[in-house]
Amino acid sequence: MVWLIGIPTILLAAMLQTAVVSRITLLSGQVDLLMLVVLCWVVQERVRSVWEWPLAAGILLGYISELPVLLTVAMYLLAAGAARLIKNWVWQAPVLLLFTTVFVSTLLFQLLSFLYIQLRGAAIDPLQAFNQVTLPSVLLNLLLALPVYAVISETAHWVIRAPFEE
Amino acid sequence: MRPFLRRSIRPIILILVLSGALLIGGSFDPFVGRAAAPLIALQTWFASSYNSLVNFFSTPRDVAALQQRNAELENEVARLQSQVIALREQNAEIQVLSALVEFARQDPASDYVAAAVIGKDPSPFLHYIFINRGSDDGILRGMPVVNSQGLVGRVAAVTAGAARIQLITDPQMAINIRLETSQASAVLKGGITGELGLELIPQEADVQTGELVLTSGLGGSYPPNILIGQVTGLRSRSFDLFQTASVQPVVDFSQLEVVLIIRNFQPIDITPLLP
Repeated sequence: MVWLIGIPTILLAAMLQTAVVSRITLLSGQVDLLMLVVLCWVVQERVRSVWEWPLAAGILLGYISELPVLLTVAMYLLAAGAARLIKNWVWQAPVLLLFTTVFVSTLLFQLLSFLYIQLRGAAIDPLQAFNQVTLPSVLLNLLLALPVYAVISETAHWVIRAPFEE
Repeated sequence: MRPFLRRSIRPIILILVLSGALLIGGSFDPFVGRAAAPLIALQTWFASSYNSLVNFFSTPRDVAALQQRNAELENEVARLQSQVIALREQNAEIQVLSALVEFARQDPASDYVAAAVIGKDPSPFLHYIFINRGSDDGILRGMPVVNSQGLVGRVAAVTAGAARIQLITDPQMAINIRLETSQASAVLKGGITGELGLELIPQEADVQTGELVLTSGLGGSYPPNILIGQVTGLRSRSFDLFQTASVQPVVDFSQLEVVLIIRNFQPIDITPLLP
């Protein structure tokens, strides 16, 4: 059931991300809807198996983006692992857990992307990248985290309540 | 009684005939007008009262009919408004396509294929777009991409029905260019915020602000003489080996909807020749 609902959700999120959300920018930063969907799923109280959605999202992102698939899979798995780790620390405050996870994961994604592009030979000023891309992206992701969390929470409630789940 | 009638019949007839003649001639008009005025007013009052009465009894039917008619007209207005919006969109699309056709006409030697922009790379560090044409339409990796304004980028990856385009603003992009007036050669590079910069401009080159930047064709990645932008600022220091400049691109990358891929240009891979 996790795969059954996960693959269409991730596909929809990826389509929305590339067609619509990527065009909404603040300075040079943008929302990462796919990451938000995956993280909001991972931090759900009812969700026990946390690796399927990040794996699917990483493979899909590696296919559509210029970033290599190994990097994107690693990014999503690391973000999921970080989310589970943070969940153990702040398990009694879901909103704090969500915001902390989104903040840490955005920084992680941005850092790995930045390092990859630097390794490919592009000369980017780190300070400019932080000010123009990373900070606006963090802000946008935090702003959109709650609405996405509400939708994914309802989905998780519906999916995991089903009798044939797990 | 009879003698009285006999005596007065003639004068009565005479008076009536005379009165008739005067009436026809219009001599009594002022008198008739004054006499008829109250009658006309009374007639008007009767008519208006009747009409009011009829309206009073027939109003409920008319309100229902008017409400129905109003709803019909509102529907019609909504339909026409949506039609106007659709026509405006078509008009904007036609303008874009007309500009592209005009651009293609200016260079009939090139074989263009038009494609719609359907997405953007999810990573904010990468400046790539997706188009709805792929290898099924004869598109290959490395082909240059333009629009009616100038150079957009090049094909970076292709699938059967779609392709990924690396924009000239991408941080990993480097293009050999020449400046139109000074004829100096340089290398154009992108940045993470979408800005363009010129590097490796020779110190002896007399570059002016406003000069046009064109592809040089060196390296074999792009055809020569495609417009890229305009020099907006120059940085020249005596102790530097080269000058640098900032460039304003002619293409508005935030409004990209349709692009043209130059199909009959095969980029040359010079990698084996590099030391």
